[in-house]
Amino acid sequence: MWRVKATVQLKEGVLDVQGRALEAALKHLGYEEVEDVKIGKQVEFVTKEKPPTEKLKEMGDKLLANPTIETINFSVSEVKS
Amino acid sequence: MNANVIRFPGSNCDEDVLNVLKNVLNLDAEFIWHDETKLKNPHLVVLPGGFSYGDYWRAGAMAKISPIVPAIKEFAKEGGLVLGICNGFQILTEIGLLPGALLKNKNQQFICDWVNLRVENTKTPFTTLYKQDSVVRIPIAHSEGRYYIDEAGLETLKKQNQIVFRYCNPAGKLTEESNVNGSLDSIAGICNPAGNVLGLMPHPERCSEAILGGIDGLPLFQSIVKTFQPA
Repeated sequence: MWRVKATVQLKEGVLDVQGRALEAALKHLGYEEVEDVKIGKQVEFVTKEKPPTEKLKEMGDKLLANPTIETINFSVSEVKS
Repeated sequence: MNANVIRFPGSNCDEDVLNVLKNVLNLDAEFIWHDETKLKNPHLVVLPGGFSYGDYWRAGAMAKISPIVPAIKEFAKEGGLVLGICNGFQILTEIGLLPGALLKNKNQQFICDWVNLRVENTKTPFTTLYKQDSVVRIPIAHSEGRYYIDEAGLETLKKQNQIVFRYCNPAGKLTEESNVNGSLDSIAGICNPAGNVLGLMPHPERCSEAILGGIDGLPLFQSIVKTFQPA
């Protein structure tokens, strides 16, 4: 069995208003060194066979990400029973 | 003239749209459930506002795989009029009938308020009854209404006269303050290159009867009716 984790974030150049707000909050707490906060979302699922990269890319393009504004990164790992 | 109003699970402005079409304009109009695969011979298809699929994962993302969508795309391809209001606009961008995307409002808040819009293009079937550059007052109610497109996309929209409405102040000027959700170039509504598909974040169906506080939305629907009247 394989576990797929996908992280979706806004592309470079697209204003991440929530990221900016969180960055301001972290700085307010004293963590001045924090820059470029991005808030993304994660989805994960399992498959019986190892999913081919092209299929994952297809899922990304068709539904999991909006390519106009988002990037998606997949990590795939085997679930050891 | 016959209209189909698409209902997705979570659409909630469907009744308001039907009310304007049937009761204000006396048109034949009916709901089409998202699970259907055929439209019912409409002249106009409306994708109403609301929270289709709860806006889960991304507003409009899951509506785009509803069984009715291929029929809507085919209808638009053949020149049929498609109007997407608020969530409907979001869905139109997700299904590729309109370019760009709608993001979270700049101030991160759900904004429910009257806004002023400048009518930029009166050549579409949806806007012939407005005066060029006139200022109209139409309400918005959304959390993800910030229009975005990349630089090249914006140039194309401008070149092809696809920007139909912009947020403005009462005097018709584009200001940071009047662009309440932070949309690129104050864009509130756009059409496709052919002009038969219009998407806008504001709600014209909420101001088509005087009793609701304004009727600046009515000319949009009347323009559509005029398109189908014999010359």
